[in-house]
Amino acid sequence: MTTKRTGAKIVMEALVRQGVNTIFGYPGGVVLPLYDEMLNWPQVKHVLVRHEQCAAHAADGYARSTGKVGVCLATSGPGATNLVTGIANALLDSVPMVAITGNVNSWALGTDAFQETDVQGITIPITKHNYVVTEADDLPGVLEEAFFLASTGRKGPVLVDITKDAFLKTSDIPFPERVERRGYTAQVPVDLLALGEAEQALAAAERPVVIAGAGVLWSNSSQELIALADKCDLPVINSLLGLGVFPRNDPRSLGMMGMHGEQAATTAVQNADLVLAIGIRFDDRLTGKTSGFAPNATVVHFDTDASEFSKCIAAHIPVRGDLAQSLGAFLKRAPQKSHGSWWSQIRQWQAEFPIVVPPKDRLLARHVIAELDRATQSEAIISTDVGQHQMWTAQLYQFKRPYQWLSSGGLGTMGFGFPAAIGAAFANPGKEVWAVVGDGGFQMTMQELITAVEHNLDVKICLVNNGYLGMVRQWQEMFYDNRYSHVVMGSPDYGKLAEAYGVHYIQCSTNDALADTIEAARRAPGPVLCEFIVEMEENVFPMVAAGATNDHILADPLNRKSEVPA
Amino acid sequence: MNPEVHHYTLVAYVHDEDGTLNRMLSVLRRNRVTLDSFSAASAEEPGYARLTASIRGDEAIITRCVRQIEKLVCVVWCTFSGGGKNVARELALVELKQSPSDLFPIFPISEIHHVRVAQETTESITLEIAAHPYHMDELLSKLEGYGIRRVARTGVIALPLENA
Repeated sequence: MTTKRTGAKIVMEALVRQGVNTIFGYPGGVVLPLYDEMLNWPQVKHVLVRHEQCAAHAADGYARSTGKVGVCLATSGPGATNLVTGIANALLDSVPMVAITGNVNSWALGTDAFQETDVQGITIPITKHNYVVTEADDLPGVLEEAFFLASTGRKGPVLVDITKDAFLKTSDIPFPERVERRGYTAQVPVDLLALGEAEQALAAAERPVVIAGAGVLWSNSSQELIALADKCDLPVINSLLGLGVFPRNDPRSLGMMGMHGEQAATTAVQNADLVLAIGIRFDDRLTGKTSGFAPNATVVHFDTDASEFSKCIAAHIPVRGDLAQSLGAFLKRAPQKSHGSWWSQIRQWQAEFPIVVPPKDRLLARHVIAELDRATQSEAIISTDVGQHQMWTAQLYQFKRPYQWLSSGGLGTMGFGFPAAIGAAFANPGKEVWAVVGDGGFQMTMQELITAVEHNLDVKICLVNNGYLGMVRQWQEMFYDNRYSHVVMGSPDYGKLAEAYGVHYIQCSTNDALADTIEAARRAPGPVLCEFIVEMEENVFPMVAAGATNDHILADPLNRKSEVPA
Repeated sequence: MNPEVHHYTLVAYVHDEDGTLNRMLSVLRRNRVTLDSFSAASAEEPGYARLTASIRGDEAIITRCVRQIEKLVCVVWCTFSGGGKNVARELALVELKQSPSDLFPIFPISEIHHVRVAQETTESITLEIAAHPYHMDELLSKLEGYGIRRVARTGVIALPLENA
C-alpha cells in the first residue's frame, strides 16, 4: 500500500523512478510547493537557469547528448510561455523531453488569475502530447505516461501542467506498473512485406545511396547502419541532424547533403537510382525543390512515423517500423554487394569538389572550426546556434558517433547552442563540450554564463564573431543586391563581459594564435569564453539557393568552376 | 496551380479527454483544410468519443492531415472517405414561419426523407429532418418557399462501413 504523499512529492518520486538526475528550471509562485519538496531530494540536481527558454534548451542538450529524456520546469504564465521556443525546437527535432509547468489553483483556472495562462492550449501544436493535472491522484499515471510518450515511438516533448493545489493535495495512488495507451504504438512492428520490396530494390540498384537522419540516432541503430553500409557497399550521406550516426572518418561517409551540404554528397543523391532514406523527414533544406529531387531514384523510406511517408518526397517503398528493428532485419536480408563503378564516379566528384579550407592569410571561421576539430580529435560534444558557423561546423567537424552533435535543425533556433551545451555538460561530466556560436545567437542567451560559473561547468564557448548576422547578410549579398538591412551586429566587450561574470576569456584574431588559443581553453578548468574575431564577409559554400533543385549547386569559388550541373 | 478541392468525411475514434478536439482541429487549421462541420459525442465505450468532420481540400493535403491526426496520442484511429463508404446522416431543425395549415403540400417530401414535426406554435412550425448529407441541401432548398426563419444543423455524423 502506498502511503499518502503530496502531489509535489509524487513529482519528485516520478523523476527518481525515471532515473532523472538533473533538471533545469526556474521557480515562481505556483511551483513553490514543488521547489520546497525538492530540498528533500538531493539525488535530483536542479540547475537554476536565468531564462526559462534556456531551461528547455538545456534539457534538450541533455537529451541530445545522452538519448535520455531531458526535463525542464517552469512556473505558470511567463515561466511557461518562455519555454515555448524550446519546446517547439524539441518537437521539430524529435527530442525526448518532459516539460513541467505549474499553473494557478484549479478553481482559478479561466479567471485570468495572476500569472495564469492557458499553457495547454498554447502548446498543443508544439508538443507530442500535453496534460493539465488538477488532482494529486492523477499525477502518478500522468507523469509515468508523459515519460513513456516522450521516450518511445517518434520521440518528442510532452508537457505536464500542474495546478498549485494539485501539488498540495495528497494521494495514495501508486505509480502504474506499466503504461499502455490504446491507439499508441510504442514500438511499431516491422513491415516485412515492404522490407522484402526494399531488399529487391537494393539488389537491383546500381547507384544506391543511404541518407541517414536523426531517426537513426534516436532509435540507437547506428551500429546496424554501419554494418549495412559495409555489407552492401553503400555510400552514406547525412542530413544535418544525422551527423554522427555514421562516422565521418569511415570511407563510405560522404558527409552532409543539402543546401550547404558537400557537393559530392548532394550530387550523388541526384544521380542515384536508389535512395535508402533512413530516419529522415525530407526537410526542404535537404531536398531543394522537391520536384527535382533525385529524379531517377526509387525512394525507400524507413521510418517509425507513417505521417512522414510521401509528405515531401514520394516514398515508392515506405518501410514502417521501429528503426532499430527494421534496420536489423534489413541488414540480415540485404544482399552482399559492391558498387565499384558508382564509387569511382563518387570519388571523382569528391576529388573535384572537396570542402575547402582557404589559405591562412587571415582568420576565417572555417579555420577556427577546422582547428577545433583537429585539436579535439573530432571527439568533443559540439553544440551550435544557427547560421553560418552551424553550417561550417556541420561541414568541417568530423563527427564520429551518435549523441555528439547538438544543433537546432528544424526550428533553426538562434540562442540554442550555449544553453544546450550547458545541458550536455551536466549530462556528460568529464567529457569535452564546446558551444560553437555566432555573435548573433550568443547575444540571445549569453546570460547563462552565470549558470556555467555557478557550477564551474566544464563548457567551452567558441564564439565566432564576424560582426554580422552572417547568414542573413550572405542572403542579402547574394539575393538582395548587397542591400544589407539590419544585419550589422554590434557586440559588447566580451572580455569585460566575461570578467563581470567571472568567466575565463581568451581572444584570438590571427591564425598564428589559433591553435594555442584552443589548447589554452581546453586546458583551463571550468567555463571559458573564446572569442575569435574572424573575417566579416565570408560566405558558406557550396550552396543550393532556396527554391532551386539540388542540381544547381553554387560551388565554392575556391573550387574553380562556379556552377556545376549534376 | 490551385489544388483541386473535394469534399471528404473524416471519422475518428478518440480518447475523450481535454484537449482532444483542440488537437484535431489544430491539425486541420494548420494545413488550411476547410471545415464545413464537426460533430463529436461519447462513443459506445466509456472514455472514448466518435468524431465526424466534413472537410474540403486537396486529397494529398487531406491525406497528410489524416496521417497527422492518426499519430496524435489522443486518437485511436482516424479515416476519411470521399463518400459512399460511410453510413452518414445529418440532422436539421428548420423553423418555418407559415402556419401549419399552409404546410400540407410538403408532407409528401416528409414521407421520403424522415421529416417530422418537432414543435408547432400558432406562428411557426419546426421540422426535424434527418437525411443523408447529400440530400440535406436539396431538402432545405425545397423548404425555402415556405419561409425558413431559422436553421440549426448538426453537421454530418458517420460510421465507416468497415467495422473500424
